[in-house]
Amino acid sequence: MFYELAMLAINNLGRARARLLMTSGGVLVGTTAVIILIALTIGLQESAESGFGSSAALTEIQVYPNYAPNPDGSFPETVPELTAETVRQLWQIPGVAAVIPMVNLQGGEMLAGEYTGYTQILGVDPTLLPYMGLQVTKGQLTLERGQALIGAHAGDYFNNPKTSGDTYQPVQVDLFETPFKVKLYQYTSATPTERRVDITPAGLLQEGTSMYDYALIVPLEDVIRLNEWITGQEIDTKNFRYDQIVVRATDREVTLDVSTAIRELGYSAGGMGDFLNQINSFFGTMRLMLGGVGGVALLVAAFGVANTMTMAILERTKEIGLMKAIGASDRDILTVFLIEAGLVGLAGGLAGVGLSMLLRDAINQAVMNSAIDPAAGGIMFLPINPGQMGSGLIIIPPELSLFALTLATLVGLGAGLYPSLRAARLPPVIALKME
Amino acid sequence: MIEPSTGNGSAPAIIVGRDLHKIFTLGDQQVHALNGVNIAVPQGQFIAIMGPSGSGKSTLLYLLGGLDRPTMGDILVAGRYLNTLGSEGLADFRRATVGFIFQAFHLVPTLTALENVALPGVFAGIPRDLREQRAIRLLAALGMADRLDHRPSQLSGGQQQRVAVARALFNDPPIIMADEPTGALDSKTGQTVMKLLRWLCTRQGKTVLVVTHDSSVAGYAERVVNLMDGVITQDYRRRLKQGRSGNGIHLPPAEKEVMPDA
Repeated sequence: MFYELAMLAINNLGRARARLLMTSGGVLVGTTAVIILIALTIGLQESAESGFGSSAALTEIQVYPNYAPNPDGSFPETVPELTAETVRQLWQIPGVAAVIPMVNLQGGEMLAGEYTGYTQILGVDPTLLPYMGLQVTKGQLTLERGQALIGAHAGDYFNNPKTSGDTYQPVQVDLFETPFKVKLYQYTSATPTERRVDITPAGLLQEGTSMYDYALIVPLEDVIRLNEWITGQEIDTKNFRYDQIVVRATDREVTLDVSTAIRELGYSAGGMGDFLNQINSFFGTMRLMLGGVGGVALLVAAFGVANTMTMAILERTKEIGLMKAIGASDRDILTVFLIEAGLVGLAGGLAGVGLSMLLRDAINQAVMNSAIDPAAGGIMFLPINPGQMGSGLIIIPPELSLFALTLATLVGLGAGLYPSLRAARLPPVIALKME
Repeated sequence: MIEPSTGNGSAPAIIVGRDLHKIFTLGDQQVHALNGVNIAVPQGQFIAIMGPSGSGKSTLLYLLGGLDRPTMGDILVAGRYLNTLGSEGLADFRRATVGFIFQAFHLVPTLTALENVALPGVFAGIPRDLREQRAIRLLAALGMADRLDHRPSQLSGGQQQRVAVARALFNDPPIIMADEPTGALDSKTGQTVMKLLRWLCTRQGKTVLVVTHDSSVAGYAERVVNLMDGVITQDYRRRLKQGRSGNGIHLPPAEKEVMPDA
């Protein structure tokens, strides 16, 4: 029955082709506007996310003692510090995949041949390495005493103090290949004692694990022993404090929940995942706004559909009367006209999806070309690096196409509802006598 | 209450209208199209409703066919009180009980002759192949076998009206109602259509109501009701002229094939 009525509706669509084309054209423009504007926010978001490095960084939360002042401006009497108890607490939080306590070496001047540089040196329990989301490009992901994992950019900002003089000229040093030492000072006496420690590279870390990019990772034991030498004191094993703890969430979606839970414990927590959530909510707002702009275009198209359906029903009033005379119920008439209106919307939506894909290819190509030849493009104002984009500035996921198609059809149905209801309720005799 | 006369003592009335009033409001003016009409039509009768323009004859037909509702009065057709039916009920009633034929044919211009005839089957939920079989048989019986795929614009007036008659017969209704069926046809074609209706009455037992202002059309009816200003002024039976009884009419090809499966 529905199929038969649909066939009638399709038959009806063939009557006023020019009008149908123009009405669907309105829906086409509206659908295209919705798709392209939303696809733009998706593309921008993806390129923004790709700037945050590996996905491992997005589940990472850095926990520090909270030195922030109270809301009233006063400072807390006791700062919650990172102790063995803290580690135990953090493990209790749902969604936590790993807790990695770290201690910083109290000093970081490095000597590599004639160059010197400064790098953060992190002490980590080597057994926790597999849970840190690290990957090596050279060497191995293991740590023995006296060894270090080298951050991808740890050697980027070295210089030669003898030649550079007043001007600082950074030199890139390959710390994996160049033998280097760490220079430490003991300040327990009036004249500091200097000590140089050899460190052997175990592996070179892959770029993108952002917080380790400019650091060296060494065994926790080494850092503790060296800190003992620097301060001249044995560590207090009872009241041992970590400098920072990295918590890894089980996946991206729970990162925010985990960092919220950590803050509730009184610690300071932050990380890329957190930042990304803010970015996401920014893009969410942007998507709503731009989608709304496209929605306005679709709303205009809806009036077009309503107008076309009203005209079609006026023209076919007698036919409606006839169909009722030969046994069509109100519901049959309503169904025929609603299908007709829905098809106008669907047709416009399909064309809109097609046009959006063409536009996407054209725009993405233009953006890529401008990336190759910056002089040719006038789009350098874009807050993205086209070279960094995997799939382009405009990204249309299948769900977006499906959403737009559904929306276009619903717009057709919605706009056609009132005229169709009027048609369905026409008393047959009035419809038949209409001139 | 006085039972309306059937004009035919023996057969039971299939259509009864009692004290029918219909008032149209045109602007601030009220027009009394029907002013207390009583009518009863026995099953199998061919009745012509005559009168000048504005006498209310079409209004009466539309009320009895369930296309419109009276302002006052009761209508009982084929055992159903139309007053009590909602719009869905009336649609069901029209689908099963009445076949309509109009002066302007009212064929759907985008559909072929075959599809037009089969259209009532769409709303009756009859499967497509059965629908087409039945439509082909009806059109063939009316001599339109070679016009199945023609659209209304490709058919002459007489051919269009034959398509309309076939459509009226599609659901095999017991009652045929025709509003000026020959009004848009030349007299020769008009006579063919009237013979066809007469034949449907005589041979198929259909009850036929024809609204007309043409007395030659009324010549095919055994009963004539005259309407004037919404009131019945004359209601009489007449003897049919030779050749108008329907017995002598030849309908190609086989007569019994006109009847769809009951």
